[in-house]
Amino acid sequence: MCLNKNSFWDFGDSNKDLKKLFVLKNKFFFFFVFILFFLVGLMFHLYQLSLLLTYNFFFMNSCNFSLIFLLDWLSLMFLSVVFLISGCVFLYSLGYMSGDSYVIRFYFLVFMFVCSMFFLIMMPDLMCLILGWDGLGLVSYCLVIYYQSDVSLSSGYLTLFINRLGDLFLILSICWCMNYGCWHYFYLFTFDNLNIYMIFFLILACLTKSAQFPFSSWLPAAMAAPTPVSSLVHSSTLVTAGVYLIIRFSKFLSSDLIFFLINLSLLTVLLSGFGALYENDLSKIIAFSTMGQLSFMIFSIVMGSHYLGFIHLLIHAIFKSLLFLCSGIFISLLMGSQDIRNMGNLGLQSPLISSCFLISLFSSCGVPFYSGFFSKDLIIELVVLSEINFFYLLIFFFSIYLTLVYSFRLFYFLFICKINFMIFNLIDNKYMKVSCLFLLFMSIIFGSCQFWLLDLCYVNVFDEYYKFLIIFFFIYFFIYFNVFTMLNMNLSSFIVYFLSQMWFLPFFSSTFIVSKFFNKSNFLFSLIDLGWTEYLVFTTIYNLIKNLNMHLDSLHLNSLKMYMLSYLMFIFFILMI
Amino acid sequence: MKLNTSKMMFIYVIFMTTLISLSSNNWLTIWIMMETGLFMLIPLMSKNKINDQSMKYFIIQSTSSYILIFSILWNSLNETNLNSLMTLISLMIKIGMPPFHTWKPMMMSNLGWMECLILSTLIKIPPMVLINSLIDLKMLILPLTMTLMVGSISGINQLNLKKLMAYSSIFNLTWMTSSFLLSKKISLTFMIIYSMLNLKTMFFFKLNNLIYTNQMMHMPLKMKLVMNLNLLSISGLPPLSGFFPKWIILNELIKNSIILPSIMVITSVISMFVYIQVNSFSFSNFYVKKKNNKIFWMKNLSAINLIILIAVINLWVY
Repeated sequence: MCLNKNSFWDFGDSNKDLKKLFVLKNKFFFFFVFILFFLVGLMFHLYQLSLLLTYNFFFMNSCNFSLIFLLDWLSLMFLSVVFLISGCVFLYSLGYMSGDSYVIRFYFLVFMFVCSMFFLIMMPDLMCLILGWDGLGLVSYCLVIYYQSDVSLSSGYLTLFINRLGDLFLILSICWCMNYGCWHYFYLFTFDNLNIYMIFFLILACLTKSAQFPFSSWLPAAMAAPTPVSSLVHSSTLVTAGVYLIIRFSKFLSSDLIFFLINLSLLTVLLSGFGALYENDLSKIIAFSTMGQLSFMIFSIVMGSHYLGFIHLLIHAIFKSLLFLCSGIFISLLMGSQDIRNMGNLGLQSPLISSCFLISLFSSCGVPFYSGFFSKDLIIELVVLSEINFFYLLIFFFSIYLTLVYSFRLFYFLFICKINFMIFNLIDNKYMKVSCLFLLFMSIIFGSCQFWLLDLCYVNVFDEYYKFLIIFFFIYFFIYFNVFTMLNMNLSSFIVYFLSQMWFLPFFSSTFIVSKFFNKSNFLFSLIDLGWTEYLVFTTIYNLIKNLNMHLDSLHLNSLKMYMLSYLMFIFFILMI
Repeated sequence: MKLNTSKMMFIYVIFMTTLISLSSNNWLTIWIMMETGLFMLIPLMSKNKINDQSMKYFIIQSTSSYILIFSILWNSLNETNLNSLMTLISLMIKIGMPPFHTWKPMMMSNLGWMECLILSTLIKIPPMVLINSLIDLKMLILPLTMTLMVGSISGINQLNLKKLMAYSSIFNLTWMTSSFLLSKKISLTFMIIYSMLNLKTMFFFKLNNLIYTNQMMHMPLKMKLVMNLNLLSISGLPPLSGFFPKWIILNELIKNSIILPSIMVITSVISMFVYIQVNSFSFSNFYVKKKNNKIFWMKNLSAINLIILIAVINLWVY
């Protein structure tokens, strides 16, 4: 018995070691793939190469069904960033999820997530792309409901159904695309313009995936997932899939679509800025910031600079994942409390993670010479230089100003306020710190690195007034800070309620639609099932059969004499005829 | 176990008479074979000496035989064709077709399961052959419709499994008769599948000593499942094998008349309701083991409900 017990415990320890070894191996695998893809992507960019690997399945009705992989610098760079972040997230979750009983399931789900992202990026074929697209939707649902509580279930449903709506749009666009006989991008790029409906449905699918204005309610709800997952989902994988597809199809954006997309992305920026300003949940604030950055990217893409948009996507992926990882550490140090009003003076209590957090926050604001600055600055300059409506320009600058405001609010609540809750430094883990530090390094150098290595040269010449516009806005913000704190205090006001509830989008995307169907169903139930049709159809037939059965039974329950008499009577009757 | 040679002889002679009547070209031979089968069945019935079922059965069957031979003689004297009402009535009494069905549930409720099986399958075949050769469909539409109504509706209030099976055999009489009227291949298909299903069901009831429907709940789940599938198959639920001969019959019959197939379909819904009512007893409770309840698990023939059989039958029929 004793031997058995010992061997059992040995096995348990070795199992634990194996788990760690598995993850570490995975980590090294991911880093290897990251470096490989990064270097190959640089080479492809240098020589302007693109490599297509195709396997034809069959032709049907002159449509080509094939499996196709595309290697060009866009997909390779994107994949390298995905692998970098997923490697860091794997290492991080070794510390973060160590107390969980279903860690293996978690690792497999995250691995499937990365796989489906791989398919999505590598397959330049709408038909094959839906493999990765659906995989992202389903696995994100599984990850959102990972903690198996009521809240996570309802938010998981919201995520699943809105993503399903996006799949629907993509399938519609595939149906339209069947007219062209092929679903490859590269084949479609040979046309001058595509069918308006096809491209419109494709854009709608991208908007649902990237959580833009009418479909944005799922992104804050998806924060019910474990924090490393949200770091992976909201930085580089799920939400950027739509932006990636828009970048691919940016050639076909007609003027109507551009107008539509500009409006929607500016609306989303405003929505997310106000949402982050009035939200008290740390991870939801970061989700709102992600939403804003995504619409910033889409705005830059539709303004014409899709390469800058893509580079901003990569840089944003890195610093946003760092932000999420740091917030995950804060949340775990605060024993699961996510309310920023409980946090305070974190800078003194955990200086290392706080500095990581602050650096990524500065990066997302675009403070000079952090990595976010490089792409963001250029995008703003290009927007200023382009012939854009003054109203749009005002909203654009106001949204950047809102980014600063909610960043400062976060900074204020997390680092300047007095201590509300003593944090538990005992919990922190070396794996979490290592991955954070690695991402910190990357988020400092990655932005400038991109511009040196990819040799992107933008020279913009304009008035110095515009250059300091953001700084004017920043000073403006300091003056009007008290106004916002006053607004924050008065929570009963309708405007504040409206802005903090994402302009009632979660209501309009769930209860508003569902309640109509419930009412209709209730009406039909009372009309049909509880109405007179019940009596007229069911009860009548039932009574008829019951009476017939009674009469037939009275015929059967007799003696043989009666049977014979009845037979003879019948025969006699027949003979009379 | 003692080998009962006389019982074996009776059963073999019943088989023989059925086979001979299937292959005879002479109505008198069929009549003689029918009578022989009847006289072989009566001693089998009278095994239980308390009941007087054999006497009742004898009276009814001999009446019908008299009417049959009378009608045949009468028709031959008049030199008309044999397609007459008297012949039909005699055959209807013989196989228990409504309105002359009243003896059948009472008879079957007092018999053993094996005799019930013979009564509902083998004994019916010679009269069926006579119906096939002597009577045409037009004359039969009214009795067949009546059979469908009675067989489906009177089963609803039954708790006795033997009576229920009697009503089920009355209900399937229509299908059998119409199959015999259509063609030989269809009738063979229907008879084989129907008698296999009946054999399995009744054998199962016999082995587990089931008399009332509420005894179905004292069985393990797997047996309940097999039993329910079997009953649904007799009723003719589409994916199961019992549906397929019925499908073929409907397919052929709809070329001759519209009314009969439509009534068949509607009443088979009611008959299905009867079987589902039986099944609901088995689904209402979990397995409650009775004391001293031996459970016999009949493994052979359990594949009869599988759809694989259909392919074989289809190859055979078409």
